[in-house]
Amino acid sequence: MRVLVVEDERVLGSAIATALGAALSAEVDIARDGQTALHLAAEHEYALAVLDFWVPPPTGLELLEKWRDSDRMGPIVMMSGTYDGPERSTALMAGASLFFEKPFSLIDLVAGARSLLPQIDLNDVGTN
Amino acid sequence: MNDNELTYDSKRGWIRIPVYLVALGLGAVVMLTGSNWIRENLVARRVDLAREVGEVQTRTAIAHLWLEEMVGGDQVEEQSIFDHLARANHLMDIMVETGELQAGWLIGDSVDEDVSEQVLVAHRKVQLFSDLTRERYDGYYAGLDVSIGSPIDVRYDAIFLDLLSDLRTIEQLLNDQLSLAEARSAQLFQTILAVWITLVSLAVWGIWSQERRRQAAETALHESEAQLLQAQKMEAVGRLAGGIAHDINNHLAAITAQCELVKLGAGSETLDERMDAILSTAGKSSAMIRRLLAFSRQQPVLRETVDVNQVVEGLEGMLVGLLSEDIELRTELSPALWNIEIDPSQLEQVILNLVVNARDAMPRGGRLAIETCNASIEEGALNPQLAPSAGSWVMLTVADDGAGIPAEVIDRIFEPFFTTKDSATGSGLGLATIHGIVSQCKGHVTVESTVEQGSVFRVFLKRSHRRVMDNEDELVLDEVLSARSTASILLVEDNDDLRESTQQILESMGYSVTAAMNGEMALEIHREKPRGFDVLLTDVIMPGMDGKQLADELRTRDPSLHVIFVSGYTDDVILARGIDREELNFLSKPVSAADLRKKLLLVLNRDAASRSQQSA
Repeated sequence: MRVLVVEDERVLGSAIATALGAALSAEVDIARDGQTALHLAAEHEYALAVLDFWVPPPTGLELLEKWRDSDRMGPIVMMSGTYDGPERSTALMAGASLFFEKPFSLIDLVAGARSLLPQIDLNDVGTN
Repeated sequence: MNDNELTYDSKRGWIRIPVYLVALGLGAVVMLTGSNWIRENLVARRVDLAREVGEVQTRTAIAHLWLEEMVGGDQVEEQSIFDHLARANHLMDIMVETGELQAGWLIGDSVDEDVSEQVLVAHRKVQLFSDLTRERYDGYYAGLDVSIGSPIDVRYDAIFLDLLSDLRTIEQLLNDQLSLAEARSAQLFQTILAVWITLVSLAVWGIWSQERRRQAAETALHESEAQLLQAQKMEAVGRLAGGIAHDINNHLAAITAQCELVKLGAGSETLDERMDAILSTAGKSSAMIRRLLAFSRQQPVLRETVDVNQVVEGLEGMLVGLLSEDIELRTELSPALWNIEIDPSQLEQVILNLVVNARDAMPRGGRLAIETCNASIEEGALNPQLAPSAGSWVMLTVADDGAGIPAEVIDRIFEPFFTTKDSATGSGLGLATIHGIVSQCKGHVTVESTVEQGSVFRVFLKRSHRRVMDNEDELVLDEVLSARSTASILLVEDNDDLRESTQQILESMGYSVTAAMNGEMALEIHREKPRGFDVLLTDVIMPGMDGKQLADELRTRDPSLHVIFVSGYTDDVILARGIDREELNFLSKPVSAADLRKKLLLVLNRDAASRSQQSA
């Protein structure tokens, strides 16, 4: 299984990748901008994508709109650091399966990812 | 405040005032002319008429008297009799021809008609009296009986008396008219005066009322402007807060995620690597806050003596990375450049922002020059475009041959959020931040630009006579830093977590630390050990006694006690407490362990050095 994380904050992207990789036993690709994400998506199929709403263009929202009906892309989780903005409703209306407002707990993110991928037998985070 | 008042044109209001004054002047002229006309037509003509009637009476009476004396045998000037009668007839002719009285409607037309009729009657009687006088006079010389008591005398007297009676009647009528005319004239004058006063009052009220509306409109305008300004400010603050929240949430997410990974033991990174990632992310938040405070000119100043050339040289590698290959970077650094006092990271930020700005102005490539030089500007040689004030400056110039800045926006480029770039490229904070930093250092930044030819930004920073710490100094400092200290510190901090962590850090460096959670507790501790502390390390803003009050009190007790203030508040708040950052030892939160160690050692070594100098 392959997971795509699109996040321009390097430390956060890396932490999310580590957590999801461990919890889902997945191979995780990280893109720090929309363009890199597009290249990766052209090369691989992803069971799950975690997108930051505001990454260098194309933005997370534009990627979501492009990928939501694609057979090569699984459920999409969106996240944003904007406080009290319209991003949550915009993302959910646009087809995001889940939305996380930063800062959030990695455990919540992993739990959300699990709920979106029920067919996978998962190990606990940190034990893999 | 209604719309009319808001749209009131104050200039037009003032223009109307002379119109009012002219109208009042015209009113006064009309009133004077009117009252004169009334006097003329109601009074003066009637007075003339009465005088003419009186003269007719007198002349007919004289003619009557002298004719009686002549027929009685007395010597008289016979011609005079006819002269008087001729004059009386002439007056009566005038009275008939011009005696039509004006404005009779004011006092009643019937009275005027009575006078006119009476004048015609008197006119006929004067003619009859004159004819009879001629007849009696001729009879006298013809030898007829014209003596006193003769039939012609009786007729003559009767006509004379009748004439007198008519003239008196006219006099009486005129007197009645005069009284009435004077009364009406006075009434009319009073009425016109009242109307005039009313007009004056209305005009004054109008002017006052307009002035009041003008003031109300001005007040409303000022209020609207203030509200607009406040709204713009709030919008700016909102955008700023949104930007801060987004970035800090990103950083917090990264930090909490790394902490969670440490707790969960997930991933292959070591604890050290994770801690580095956390510290680096926290540093980004800290740098962002410093940048925002610089923009608002409230950043706690961490100035040191800086050689601008060293900073430019240190940045050159990064600058080359920032610029595309089609931009040629040239640096020309003056070899004997003076030093300045600035926070080095702020100077880096100024240079980077100017370079990025220049880069964005040259999308198809170009030449970018960074120059430094000393600028000693005399009072008389001021060129406002080159330097805003006289003095000794270090001038940093960043010049490009890019798009240039249009004249219509050049005055606005240092405004926060003003940008000519698209929203993805420009935040509108770059030049505003530069302006904030330079102003904070009491420097100036100027710009010269020509569209399609490029821009030249000049940053003027005050010369400092202090020496920059060189490598030898750094080595000495490193030696000092590596040594463990045994000094005793009284730590005062109201935040429990921060107090405990600071105490642990200080103790790990070898210091003996006594911690107090507020100023009152610190006083109590110090009272028990009056000479027990070398350094007071205190927060500035605390509940109850603040750091400055505490320091003043303890230094009164122990003048040799060193004081280091720590605060996360901005310059304004600190200065309000009477603390001068330039003179005293001050650390801005967040304080790193290295900064804390360096500051303590500098304070303690300075004390040792001064003591050794005194003993020598």
